[in-house]
Amino acid sequence: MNAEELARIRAELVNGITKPLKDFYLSYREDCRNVLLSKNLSDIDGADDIFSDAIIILRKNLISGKIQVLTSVRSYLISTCINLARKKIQYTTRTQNKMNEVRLLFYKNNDTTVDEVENKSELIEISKRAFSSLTDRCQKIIEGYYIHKLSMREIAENLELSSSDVAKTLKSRCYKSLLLEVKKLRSKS
Amino acid sequence: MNLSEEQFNIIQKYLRDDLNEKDQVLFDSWSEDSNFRTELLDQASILNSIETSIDTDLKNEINSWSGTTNNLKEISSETKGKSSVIKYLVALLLLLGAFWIYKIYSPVELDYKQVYASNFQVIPRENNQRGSEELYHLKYTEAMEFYGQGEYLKALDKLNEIEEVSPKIKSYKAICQMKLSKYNKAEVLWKEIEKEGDNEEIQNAEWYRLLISVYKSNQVNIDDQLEEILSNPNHLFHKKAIALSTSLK
Repeated sequence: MNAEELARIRAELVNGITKPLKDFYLSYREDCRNVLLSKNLSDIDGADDIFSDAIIILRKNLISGKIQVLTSVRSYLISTCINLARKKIQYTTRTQNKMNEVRLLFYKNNDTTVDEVENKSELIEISKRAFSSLTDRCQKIIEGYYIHKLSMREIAENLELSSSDVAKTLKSRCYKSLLLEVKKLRSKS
Repeated sequence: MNLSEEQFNIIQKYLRDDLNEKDQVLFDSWSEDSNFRTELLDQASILNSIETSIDTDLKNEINSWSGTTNNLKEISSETKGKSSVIKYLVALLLLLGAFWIYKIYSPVELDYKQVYASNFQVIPRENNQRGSEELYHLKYTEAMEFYGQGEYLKALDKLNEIEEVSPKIKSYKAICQMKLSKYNKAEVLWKEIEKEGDNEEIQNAEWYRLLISVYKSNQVNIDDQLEEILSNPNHLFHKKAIALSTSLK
């Protein structure tokens, strides 16, 4: 896959288009499954689950720009599946790592209130609802900026905004709206 | 939790790993403040929840792709189970389809032979101007007589009687072999001519070897040999090679 194709797929993924992933999924699922089964690394159901995770990792790495060169999507997915199955990759998200880091800050300061924070599933639900209440463009900006660490310029380019300054202004507005919406939903619950 | 704009911005930078040294100093000092920490954890948790939620949605979508395939398989197997008539009809349609594809594609093989036939021309017989008193000339003249009359087997016999085997004699022999459908023997002779002959004889040999490859439908050899002729604009058969190339497309 050349740089142009990579850039095109990246732009599609940033814009929430999942068709490239579906194409990869349908093209290589059997291959990954066969490799995992032949190496006795998984059963069929487990193999499919691992493959889904590999697709998610591929998406993240494509969007964040970790993948700059990709000669074979098939090989990438197969090796990711093998590593996931052998638990060489501990699949923790970037924001999960960040959260763990913040928790450590609490412990360092002998603050145990961190253990009393609200139920995880409840927070996920509230955050999801707050996130969904934002415009489609806001959602993409927040995901791009905070989750995939895209620069303002990259966000402006991929979302076809007129400049990175526009992206920056929108990002601040969107993020504040998100926090406000979370606060509202929390007060209701 | 009222934070200053600056604290809010530091949290943004921290969440993206964008703190510089100066920011880090500020961050470390503020992180001792429980309000700051709580706001920090809040935002980190919200972002983590959003990422988890996006991943979960995507995983569900991915599973639905898998489900689509499986559903199709299930529907297909149900249909098969319900009606064996449909099964046979499908098989019949597949057979008809295969036959139709065969009919469509089978002329391609025949085309090679047609292309060969439409491009193959014998080398014109040589009118022997020399005296016929010598045995060589006598046999050669007889061979050319048979050759001119299309009696290629007899012509070949006479040519085989000639002891001196020049590239020219070999060329006629090779043409006779081709006329007698002995393409492998002809090919050996053309290869020898390519090593021994003059420029014209070599180019003749290249062309006829190409035709033999066409007759044998050997696409790899055709490509190589065509390329050899097409790359030389002064080749005797350059124009014919262009036409041949077009007819093979």
